[in-house]
Amino acid sequence: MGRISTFGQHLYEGRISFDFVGRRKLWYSISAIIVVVAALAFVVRGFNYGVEFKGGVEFTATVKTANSASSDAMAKAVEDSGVPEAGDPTVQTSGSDRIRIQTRALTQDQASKVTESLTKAGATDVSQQLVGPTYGKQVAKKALTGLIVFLFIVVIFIWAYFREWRMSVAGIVALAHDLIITGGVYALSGFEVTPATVTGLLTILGYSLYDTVVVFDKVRENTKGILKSTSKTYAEQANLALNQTLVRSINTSVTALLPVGALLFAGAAILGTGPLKDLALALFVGMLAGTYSSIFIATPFASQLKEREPAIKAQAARVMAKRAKQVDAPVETAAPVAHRPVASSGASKRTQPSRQPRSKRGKGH
Amino acid sequence: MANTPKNRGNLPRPRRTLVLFLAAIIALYGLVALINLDTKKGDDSAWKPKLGLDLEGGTRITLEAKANEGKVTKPKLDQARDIIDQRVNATGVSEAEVTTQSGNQVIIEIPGERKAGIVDQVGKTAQMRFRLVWTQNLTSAAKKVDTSAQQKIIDGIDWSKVSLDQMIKAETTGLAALPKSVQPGIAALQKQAAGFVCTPGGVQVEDVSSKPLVTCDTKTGEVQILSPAVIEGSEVKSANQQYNTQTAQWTVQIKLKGKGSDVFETVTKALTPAQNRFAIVLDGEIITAPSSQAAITNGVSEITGSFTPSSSKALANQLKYGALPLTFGLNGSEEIGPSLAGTQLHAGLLAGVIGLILVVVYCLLYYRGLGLVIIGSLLVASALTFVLVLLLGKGMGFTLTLPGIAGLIVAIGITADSFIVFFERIRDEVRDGKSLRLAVEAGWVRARSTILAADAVSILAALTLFIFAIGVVRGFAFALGLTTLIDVFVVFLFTKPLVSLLARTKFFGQGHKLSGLDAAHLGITGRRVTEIARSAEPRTTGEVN
Repeated sequence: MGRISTFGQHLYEGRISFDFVGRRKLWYSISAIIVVVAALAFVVRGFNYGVEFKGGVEFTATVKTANSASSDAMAKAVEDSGVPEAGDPTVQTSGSDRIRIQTRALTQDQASKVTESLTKAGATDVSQQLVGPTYGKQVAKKALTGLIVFLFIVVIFIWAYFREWRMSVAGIVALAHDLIITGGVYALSGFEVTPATVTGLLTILGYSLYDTVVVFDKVRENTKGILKSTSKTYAEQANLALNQTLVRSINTSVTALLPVGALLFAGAAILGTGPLKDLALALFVGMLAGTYSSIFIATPFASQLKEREPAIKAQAARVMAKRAKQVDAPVETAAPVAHRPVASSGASKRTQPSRQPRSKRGKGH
Repeated sequence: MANTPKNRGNLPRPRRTLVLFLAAIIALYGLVALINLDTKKGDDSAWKPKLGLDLEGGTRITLEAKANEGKVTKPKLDQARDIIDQRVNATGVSEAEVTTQSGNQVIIEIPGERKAGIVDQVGKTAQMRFRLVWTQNLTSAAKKVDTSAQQKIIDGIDWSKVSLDQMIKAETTGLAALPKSVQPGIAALQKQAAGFVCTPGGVQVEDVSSKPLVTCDTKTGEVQILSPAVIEGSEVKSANQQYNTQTAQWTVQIKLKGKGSDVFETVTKALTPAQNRFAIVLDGEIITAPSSQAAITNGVSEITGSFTPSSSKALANQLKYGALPLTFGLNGSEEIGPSLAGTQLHAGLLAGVIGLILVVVYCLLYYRGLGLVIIGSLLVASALTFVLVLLLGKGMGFTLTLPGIAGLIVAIGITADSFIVFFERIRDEVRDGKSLRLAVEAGWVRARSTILAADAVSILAALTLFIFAIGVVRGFAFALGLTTLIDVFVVFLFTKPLVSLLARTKFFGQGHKLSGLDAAHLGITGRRVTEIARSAEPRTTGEVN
């Protein structure tokens, strides 16, 4: 762990630097491929909507005593009926002697099979009814209205806070990226889309923007007064910000993903059914994508937009011109100036008490 | 920079903040204990969170549409489902489920035991109309008289030919002001009124918008002949429960939409000189028939009429979400068991605990001594979340479903981000050569704005979704807002003061090997943190002790 800290120090000073902003084409390509695959998965396979959205069939089985043992017996009877569409039913007791079993929509044939299987398992009387969705159109419509209003407000908020519309745009692009990828994973995995999934998607919506704002805040800090600087460009400062917040990004992802991972494991591997895995999958994929997109998409994209601004362009040209001059007349730098300005970081102008000659530096820290 | 020694005098005293905050949490727990003392035997203990349908079961109510009002169609049933859903989930935190069944039923599943009057609250048609009072102060007949012949006459007349002005005139100057063509109808109405029995339990009348109506106020027994509806319930823009401090009465304040508001202005203007009355009719019953005291131009009206706090709230909810397109009757209600096996809850909780333990281990390995601060903060956040869930469960029916519990666990994990942002800032400042005490303050100033900005996004999401969405999505928004606020409270009132205090200790202040702030751990080679501070800021070293 000490090594990660040392790593953090080096990132902070700019001794180690990953070129997130400069190699944006690479990250864009990676994301584009994933997004296209996700979108294709959605178009081809679609979502596997749960009873809550589509409605289904409800069987009411009369048994001797309704308790968890007889509920389990009924659930097993449904699984044994040989109707795959009836898999993963919701089973609950109702009153003292009845058990309700909800499955997805079935054909008359399939329903008869399930009824037969239930009767075999000890139900004295089985009735069936069609049930409508609990997640009506109205819920979806209003939630969508809320989302659109929220996105509108958040665009204004980010713009007002950072005084930079480009960051609003980049933040929304990153958000869309995260949501599409999560949706694609749902389509690919065939996990049921339930109200828990919707909750998960909404959580990601908040998390993705939250994470982006944290990173943008550092970018803003580093690029303050950039127009007066003659040593660093906007892109370099943005990249330094990413490197400086990298340790935070890693730590945050780890602490956020550990509980989600545990829930996903419990839901998918141990239990196999139920709402836990639906929620946990959405969160796990979405949070990974959220952290990734803040670093690899949102900031490079915001920087790219910003670099088009004439003032920023002129400033970058000044910086380059100055550097070219220094290369022409090397004062005492023995080492050649790197192609990418890795060595020049914001740290150079600060007091750096830890900077020691290479020979005096300890090993293994 | 706000961290010069001079400014530190203005900083809040960390010890006091910490003590007050912890005392506040303990007070909340005390409140739960008090509520628990007050609970009667048989009630659930206040120490147990209210669990949702999936974990604890609840009550299942079946409402069946009555066929007397024409055909029960699917669009009508779906619309009724949506409206009932909004009424049941008005606060958005009880996680009740509403669905349709068999083409003519609406099923409502509510967590917990059956509450009295719930069918009335959610299943009532709530068709509200404003009508003019054509004849007032009639008394109830002793015996019911068959008036179907009169009804036929009334039904046979085209009342839509009567203009609003004529209707108003009929009230202010007398029924003779109405056109001749409708006079037979008036005679029929008067006969109907003479034979009208006002039963205190409620009256059965067919309330048709376009026709005049004979009905009564069951509280006073006053029978009235009313004009065709002048303003429909669908013209209501918003409805809110209110407490009128002057009359010490609960009322329902309604606001009308543009067109309804215009008509209301015309009506009240015309009625005010003689203080004539208008009636507000709900499901065929007069709930109030005030005399007009002033022309109302803003479309705001107050409905009075011996409301209790809960009945005024119920009516406001019913009016707000609109009238049901169908009339429903209760078809059965029964207790239902949980839909998820107990293993799901246990597995979920176990996974959550394991996940959080992993977080703790990671924080300790990475942040060492500071990791303890994170653990403490997470514990405080958990304790605060738990007590608020208990109190909100009691106060406004906040229930926990399994996804809800999972969401809270995850939210607590995300809360850790605020601490991480803060600690990374402190470490950055230490790397810049500040002494720990100064680094804490400087790091805090920077971390604070980041934390607030990021949390503001979450709060915005919670607020907009809570305002615009309905049903379960609203419940999610509530939980998101709650956990985000907890995050802000904990980091401002617990983590920051605690770190400020710890920075004064020898262990952290001088960068002990296990504190997580020693030079080697930060990757600063060769020197101890205090020495770095001394060399960088020689004047401030005297304060590090």
